[in-house]
Amino acid sequence: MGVSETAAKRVLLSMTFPELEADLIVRGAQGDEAACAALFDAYYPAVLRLSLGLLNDLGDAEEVAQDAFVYALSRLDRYDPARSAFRTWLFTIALSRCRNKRRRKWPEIVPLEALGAAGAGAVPREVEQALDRRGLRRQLWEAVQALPDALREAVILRYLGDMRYREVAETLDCNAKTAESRVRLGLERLRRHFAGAEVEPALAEMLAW
Amino acid sequence: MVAPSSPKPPARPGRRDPRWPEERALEAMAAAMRHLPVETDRAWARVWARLQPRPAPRWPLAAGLSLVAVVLALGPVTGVGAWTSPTLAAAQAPSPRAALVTPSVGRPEPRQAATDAPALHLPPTPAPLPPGQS
Repeated sequence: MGVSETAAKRVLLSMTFPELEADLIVRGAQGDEAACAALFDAYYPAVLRLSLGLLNDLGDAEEVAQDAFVYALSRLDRYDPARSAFRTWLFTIALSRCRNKRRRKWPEIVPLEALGAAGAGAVPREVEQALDRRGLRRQLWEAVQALPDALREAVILRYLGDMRYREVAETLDCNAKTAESRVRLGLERLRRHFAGAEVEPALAEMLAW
Repeated sequence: MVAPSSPKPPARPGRRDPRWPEERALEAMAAAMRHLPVETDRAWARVWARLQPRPAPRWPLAAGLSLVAVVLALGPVTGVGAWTSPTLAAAQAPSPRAALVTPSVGRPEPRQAATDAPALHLPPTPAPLPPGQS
């Protein structure tokens, strides 16, 4: 390793996460493949999980997540750090694409009263396996998928996206109070859903006060 | 590099967890989902390929298009122009007046009787009298 390479590594190691991220964004906007790849590695799994939660289909989620990255990486010069965090910007792009995908996928013949539960399809096998490793079954996932769209998006951004209410609000383009109230309403719906239902033991233990 | 996550205050010992039970369950679900296998390398290869500028059209397509353009440009010489030029096509088409069917052309042949009976020969209709004669 040459002297300049060592010095560059030292600079990188001394950087905080926001500094490193800002540096990657600047280099990525100039077409640096390594910088783009580093941003992709850092955020692709989170964007994929979010898309999977919103679409309930791994193939669609991969397609949407990759589309979102193609869009974001080709427009890195338009990203404004003063307006939102990079992750929030990426999630906003992914959310918009997920909405479009759902709109195209669900035909117009779905009756209005069934729209709330339109996302409640079969649980993808990969999701079931991931949940199973933690002793969870698919019951909770199915209940989240059956929430009305506005509540489902807020709940998924908050928990699967691991976002604060302020970030959820930025992504959903609403104020923080609205975002928080949507998440609370979603939690109340889940509580009512499980109140009279037979719940799997691991989930029942979590749901007990 | 790890993306920042929102810090959660740990529950104090001896005190009830302040989170809603549903919240705990959703956090457990999110934690489980972090173990979802993700094929980042394959996905990156696809994304990077899509980020590259599109290559120029290959020569057979470009050459084919050029050839078609040349043939069309030389239409009056090659004869192809008659198919494409509206004036030539109009000149070669039959005029609407010539295409009209006159009454003499369109009159049907007298029909033969279908039976063996001899055909009736009616006397000719008398000519109309001049005016003032009855």
